[in-house]
This record gives sequence, structure tokens and C-alpha cells, in this order.
Amino acid sequence: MRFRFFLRLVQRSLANRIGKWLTAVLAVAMGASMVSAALTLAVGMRAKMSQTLRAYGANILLVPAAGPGRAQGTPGGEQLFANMPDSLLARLGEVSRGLPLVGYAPLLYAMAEIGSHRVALVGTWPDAMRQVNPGWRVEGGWIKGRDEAEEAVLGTSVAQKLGLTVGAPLTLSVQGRTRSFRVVGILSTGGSEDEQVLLTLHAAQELAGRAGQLSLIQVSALATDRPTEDVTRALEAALPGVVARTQLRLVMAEERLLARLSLLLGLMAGLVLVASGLGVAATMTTSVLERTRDIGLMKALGAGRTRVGRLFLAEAGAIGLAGGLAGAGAGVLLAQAIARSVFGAAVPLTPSPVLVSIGMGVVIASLASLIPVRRATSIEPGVVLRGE
Amino acid sequence: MHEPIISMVNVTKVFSGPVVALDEVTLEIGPGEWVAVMGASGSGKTTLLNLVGCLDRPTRGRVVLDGTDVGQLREGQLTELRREKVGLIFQQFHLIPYLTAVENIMLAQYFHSLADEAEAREALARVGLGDRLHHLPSQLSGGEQQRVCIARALINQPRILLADEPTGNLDEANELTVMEIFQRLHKDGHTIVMVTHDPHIGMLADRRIELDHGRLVPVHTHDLAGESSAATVRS
Repeated sequence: MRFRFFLRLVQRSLANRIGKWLTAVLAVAMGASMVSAALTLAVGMRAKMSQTLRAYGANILLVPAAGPGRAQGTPGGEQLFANMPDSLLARLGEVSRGLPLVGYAPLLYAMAEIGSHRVALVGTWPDAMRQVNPGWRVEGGWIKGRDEAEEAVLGTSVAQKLGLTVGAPLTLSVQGRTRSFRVVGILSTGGSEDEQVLLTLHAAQELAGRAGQLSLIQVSALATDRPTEDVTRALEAALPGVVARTQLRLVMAEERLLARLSLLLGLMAGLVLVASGLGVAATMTTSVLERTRDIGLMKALGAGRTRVGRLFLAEAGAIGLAGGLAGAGAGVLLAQAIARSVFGAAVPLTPSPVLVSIGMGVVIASLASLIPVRRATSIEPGVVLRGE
Repeated sequence: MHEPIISMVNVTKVFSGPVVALDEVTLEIGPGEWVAVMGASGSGKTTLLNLVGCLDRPTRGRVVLDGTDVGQLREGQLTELRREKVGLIFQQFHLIPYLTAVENIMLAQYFHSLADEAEAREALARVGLGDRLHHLPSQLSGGEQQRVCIARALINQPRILLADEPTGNLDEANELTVMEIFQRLHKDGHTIVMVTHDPHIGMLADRRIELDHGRLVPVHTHDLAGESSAATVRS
């Protein structure tokens, strides 16, 4: 009963001065929204960054240890066709269970002839290739399975150069070996793949006369749980004769951007929180001054310092809670807007930034009220009778 | 004579300035006694009431309330003594404006022990406000507000009632109603200390004391029709 009446008192008091409290709620909401936005971005973008990297493609390449320096892109010469045994794939399959891998795709590069044109030929696991490169755009279809021997996907530049469309027959020759295929899709990545012809790994090995061989393996690893460097070390340890190379520039650029953004938002959150605290302190001080007689009356009726202090702190807490709730929601929206404009995609929602910003709102409002509350508890009951 | 429930011995209260509000006042009030404190504005009446009500401490001298020396108490103990022993009635009523009549009564219960709405309703019914429970102070007349104030002062059954000009803001009809309540309370055995300017109200009390520039002086009998002697004053 005592607590229920206490809540009734707080509710009546807040309702009586709702216009003035709204200013304080707004001040807290602004601070909480910055905290919420900063945390949502910091937590969410870590995961988002990994997703973004995956959209760009593999973030680790496995190449032969004795292989050439260039390990990505269209093979520019014979030196790129260094070999790894495809038995490595079985070993990688075992190792991958303990690592945060999204997927991996083996690649075999060779040069082929289509009539009088020379094109780069790539053999791979079609399904794994799409998993590792989810951002690729394909017109038409995709090679159905790893054992499909007659389907090919053309890079868009190759298709244009040769005037081929989906459904067209395709004849490829490598060192006198000739095979017929059917074009099932046109691939457009904006990268080196636009200049290539994709076949299944098995078909490419057979056509190139390099059974059981690979050029490299593309690996897509999640950067959320473990740093990418940890994964590369684990892969190199498990696969002798193989070097794992990280797409470091991309990772580091994203991490730098994220760190700067978080720092900027953190600084802004700090400043806005200080301003919020000052706003709440000013509102509470005015409230105490205006209610001097009410406070004196309460003390004359037998309220001790604790009871009076508790009442004002509860009001401050309610302001903090309301501001925190409003700010947390606004912060999430702000974070989404920032993420969309900077990273071009929404950040995943997590409860911790929302809870922390609500808690922060309550704490800031309560801390900012300490001096006004102390003033309230010091009011003498005699002011009521003296008529001051 | 019974042991006094209120005792003041050589009490002096000096405010910054310095202003001597009470000067060496000695006074005893017995249990169940109704004492009217009279005097001009600024004579120290309210200061005396503040000291008796444990709302303030004397600069010098002793104030003893129901056997407890107020001067020896810490702030919390003083609050507790006031909560248990004293009911306060004000000229300006001093109701919390955003609480209804019944909630204003419950506020005093809450600070004392537990808020009990049924008991608060009964208290209002006893002062004739059973149909005004959920009205805000601004929706009540002066007389009604004063009756809420009286019900609030009585809700925790204090032994001492301190009233500061309780009819000062009331018209004649409401003054009569309120004074009838005081007479009933006196009959029920409450000790009443009432500050008043009005000699007719003062006449209802068992005893009148008068303050002049902070000192107790003999009551001006010419102001009190039918009154034959000065109040018992020791200074």
C-alpha cells in the first residue's frame, strides 16, 4: 500500500508539471539517442562489416607456397598456373568445421580458345562459388551441379565480344582438346570474372588436361568471432605447402572507418549526455524552487529527508526512463540512417545498445538531480508556517 | 495539576539580522488544555508555534514536548516526534494542489505509517466532506479546504494540535463550522494551541496568552469581553 501510494504521488506530481518535465525528457532522449546510435553502430557494424566483405567476395585466398606473388584476378601468364593437388579440398573440409568459414571454392585457371579468340578459363564448384561471392549478378541460370559437364557461364565481356547469349552453343579448345558446352548464364561482377568462362572444376581439369590440380582456393571467413589473421594462421598450419593471403586492405579500411565513426559518435554522445544532464539539473532545480512550500509541508507532516529525496529521485528516474526509451528508439533509427548512407545497408538490431541507452538515461537523470534533490531535502519545514 | 504536555523554559529564538523573535519565554500547557496565543503581527506567535511543533529549534532555553527535550534531538528524531505527537492546521490550508482531498489526507498517513484510503475517507466524512473526496483543493471553498486541513491534522491521532489562525481566511459561516470542530476536539481531550488575532475565537480557549515583541505579557482584558483575569504567565 505504501509503495502504491508512493507511485501515485510520483504520477500525480509528474502529471501536474508535464510541460516542464517534457523539456527534461527531451534532453535525456537526445543523450540516450546518441548512446543508442553509437552502440548500435559499434555492435552492429562489426557483423555488418563481415557481411559486406562477404558480398565483395572471398577474404582469404589459399595459394601454393611456392607460387607467384599475384594471387587474385585473371591469370596474366603461364606463371599463374601453379598447381596444388585437389586432395587439399578434403583436408580443408575437415579443418573448416572448427573455423568460422562461410564457404570455400576451388579454382583452376587455364587459357582456352573459342575460334580465334583466347579467353581465360576457370573451373570451379559452381554452388560454392556463388556462396563465396553472393554479390555477383547473373543473367540466365547457373551451372546446376559440380558434375555438370556441358554447361558454361560466360563473363559479360566475353559474351559481348563473341556475340553469345544464354542458350548459345560454345566450343572450347585447350591444347588440341575440344569440348562442346551450352551457355546457361552471363556473369557480371565488374571484376576480372567478366573476362572469363566458368565451367565446373571437373570439366576444366579434363579440358586442360590437369586432372587433380587446382590453381587456388577462395575462402570466405566471418570476421565477427575471430580476427581473419587467426583463421589464416589456422589454415596454413592445417594445409602444408599452402599460403593463406588476407584481403587486408579492405578489412583494414572498413575497420578504420568503423573505429572513426564509433569514436565520433562516442564523443558526440558524451557531449550530448553532459548537455542532457545540465538540462535535467536545471529543470529539477526549478521544480524544487517552485515546490519549496510543498516540500516544507511534507516535512512538517513528518516526511524525513529520505522520503523527500526518494520522491524527487523517483521523478528524475521516471524522466530518465521516458527519455531513455524515446532516445533508444530514436538512436536505433539514427544508426540505421547512418549505416544506410555510409555502408549502404541496415545494421542488425541487438538488444544491448537499447538497454544500455535506457539505463544511461535513468543514470544521467538521477545523477543530474542529486544537487537539486539535496537542496530539496535541506528545506526546513518551518517555511510553511513562517509563510516564506 | 497534570504533568505539562508542552513546556517552554526561558526560550529565546534569534533569527539572522539579528532579530529576536522570542525572548526568554517560559510557558507550560497541560494535557487537554486549549490555549489561544494572541498578539500583534510580528510578536512571535508563529515562532512559538514552530518551536512547539518541532519545526524549529530554540537559540536558547528548553522546549519539552510530552516529556521529550526537543533540544537534545537530531533532525530525524525531531521529525519522528512531530509525526507522532503533533497535528498542524494552517491559515493558508497548505494542501498539495495536485492531490485530491482524500489523497491529501493519505499523504499524512503515508509519512506517518501506511496510507489507508478507507480511513482517510472516514476522516473527511467526520468533517462533513464525505461528498468531496475526489475534489482538488482548487475545487473546494476556503471552509472546505480548512476542514480537509483539520482532517489531515487529525488522521494520525496526535496528542497536540497546533493551529495557526485557522479561521483567518474564512467567512463567518465557515468560521463557525471550523470552531465547532475545534470545540468537539477539545471535548475529546486534544491539547490545542491556537494562534489567533480574533478575541472572540480566543474566548473559546481555556486560556489566552499574549506575545508582544517576543515576550509574554499579561492579556489585555479590555479586548476580551467578560474576561476577568490575565492568563497564567510566568516570564
